[in-house]
Amino acid sequence: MKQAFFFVLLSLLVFSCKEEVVSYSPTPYVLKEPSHFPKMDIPADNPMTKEGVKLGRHLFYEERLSGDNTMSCASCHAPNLSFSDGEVTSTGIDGIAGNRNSMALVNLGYQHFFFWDGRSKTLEEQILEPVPNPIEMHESWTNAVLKLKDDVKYNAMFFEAFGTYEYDSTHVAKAVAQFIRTMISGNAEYDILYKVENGIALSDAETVRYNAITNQELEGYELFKSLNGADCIHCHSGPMAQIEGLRNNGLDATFTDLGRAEVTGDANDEGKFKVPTLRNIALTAPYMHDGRFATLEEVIDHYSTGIQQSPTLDPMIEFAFQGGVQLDEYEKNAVLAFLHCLTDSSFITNPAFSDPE
Amino acid sequence: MLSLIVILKKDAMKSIITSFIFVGLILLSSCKERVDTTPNHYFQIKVVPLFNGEEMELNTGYTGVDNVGYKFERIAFFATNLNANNNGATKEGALFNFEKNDYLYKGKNLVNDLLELQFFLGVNYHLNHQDPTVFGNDEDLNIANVDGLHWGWDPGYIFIAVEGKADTLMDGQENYDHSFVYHVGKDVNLRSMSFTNVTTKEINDSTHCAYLYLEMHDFFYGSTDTIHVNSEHSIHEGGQMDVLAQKALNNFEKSLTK
Repeated sequence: MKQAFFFVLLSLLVFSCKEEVVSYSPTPYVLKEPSHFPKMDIPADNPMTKEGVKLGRHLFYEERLSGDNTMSCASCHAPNLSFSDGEVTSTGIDGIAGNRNSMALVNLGYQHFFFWDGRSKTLEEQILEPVPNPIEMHESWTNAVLKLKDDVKYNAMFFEAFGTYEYDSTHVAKAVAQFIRTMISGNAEYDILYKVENGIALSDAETVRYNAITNQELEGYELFKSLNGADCIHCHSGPMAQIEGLRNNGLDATFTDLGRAEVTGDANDEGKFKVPTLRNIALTAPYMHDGRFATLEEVIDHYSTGIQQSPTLDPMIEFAFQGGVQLDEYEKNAVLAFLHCLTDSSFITNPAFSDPE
Repeated sequence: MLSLIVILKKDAMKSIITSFIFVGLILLSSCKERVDTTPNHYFQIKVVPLFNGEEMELNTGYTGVDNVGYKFERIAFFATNLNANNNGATKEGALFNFEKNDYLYKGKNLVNDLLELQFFLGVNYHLNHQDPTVFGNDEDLNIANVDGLHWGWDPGYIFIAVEGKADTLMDGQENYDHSFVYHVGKDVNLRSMSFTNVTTKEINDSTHCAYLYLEMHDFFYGSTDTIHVNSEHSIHEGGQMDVLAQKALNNFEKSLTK
């Protein structure tokens, strides 16, 4: 009896110690794109796979990518703030503050340049920057990848995603890019208004939501679009609630941060910054490239009366000669109410985007 | 007797098999892949903006006939139902967006001389009021490619866009502080364009390019109408009754020549 018990126990131990089989047979990841969005361009050298997205999600929240193992991508891009950080400018692991506000990560898969100055042309290229940046995560890619390789969990996930144990920073960037491409926001009241305007049929649930949009919000939307009202639509239109451009929106008469010109060296680019999306704008304070405005009210005041003239001011800020669009308090409140219609709560609470640990 | 039949059958079988092999060989040789030695031909239609006859660039100062200075930041227009020579060189929708996309057409066609070219300046009603995401990613009318020149259901696409800054003080000092923005759209403003015998050059052995010219001096100083940038600096959408919209559209139409 004792011998039989021993045999069973031994067998159990042997089987439980059996090495987990890791295989490379990636499964294509099918993006769930809203019907009113353009089709996302996926780079041919980084196709979306379930394994890649899963790995990217782990890496997005991985603090070992920083020099002192305390900071991950999510430190400056938190889900509840639409993947921004609520700070004027972000502070890195050495306590040094950067000079620019953390951008919200929304629908980045549809973008063609990144950072406030547009210096990266691909998501993969952008992701390579924050880790070695001395005022951000301050870690060499060699060290960061070595730390990952000490973890069997990561070795297995990289193999499942890319079929190699000899992975490096480019694999990390590809995986994180795949995860970020899944972060699609297209379910705000703004989307319902967009669909109605473009003759796209609403579902029953959307019709209920459409009917619940208040008169004040609708008035705000009319002002938002009106070229003699708030005139926001020149830079914030379409399903992305932004145009893909770099513009000077009249923040300063002279520039302490040259913006795009720091990349191009062209004086015509001075003071120009990437036009951000207005999606989830109510969640992403403070505002502008340097986080100078703490509230949306301050932003509206800027466009209303605070425009500064400069040689590169966007010509589409047409009422610059009078300091701005001159909204009254009633109109400001309406625009503010409408801006909350760009909040997509299903995006910020999507469990697929949360910390997997 | 039986063995004779078997021998006969064997002979018949042999000849049938031989015939099959022979026919098979003929068929195989006739199916031999033919190498296409016809060269590929490509055709392009390029738009060249000018100011007073000189090729121009964005963000560079140019002086008008009355000494007003102009710096352009965007020159763009949509062309739809483009048809060249009625030979298959067609395009449903094209966006000319200076320094981003200077070509109205690029395709695999043999067009040595562009004898006839027709298109609408603007976006025809049918295309103008579709969901702008239905167009493929590589199509100019796709919402992702229009560079902000689509404003929802009404007016739809902005047919022409001219934006920039003017220096209206003729004091010898450069000071481009006067913005101008001309955005014209709406169905009633669709214009039909037609050109014959457009200059076509051979770029290389396989590519021919036809050229249209957009004279921006004539946009401001048209043969019949002048846009006075001091007071006429802004138009958006532009319904039928909008005088400045009509002036901008008329001048733009006349500025586009072969």
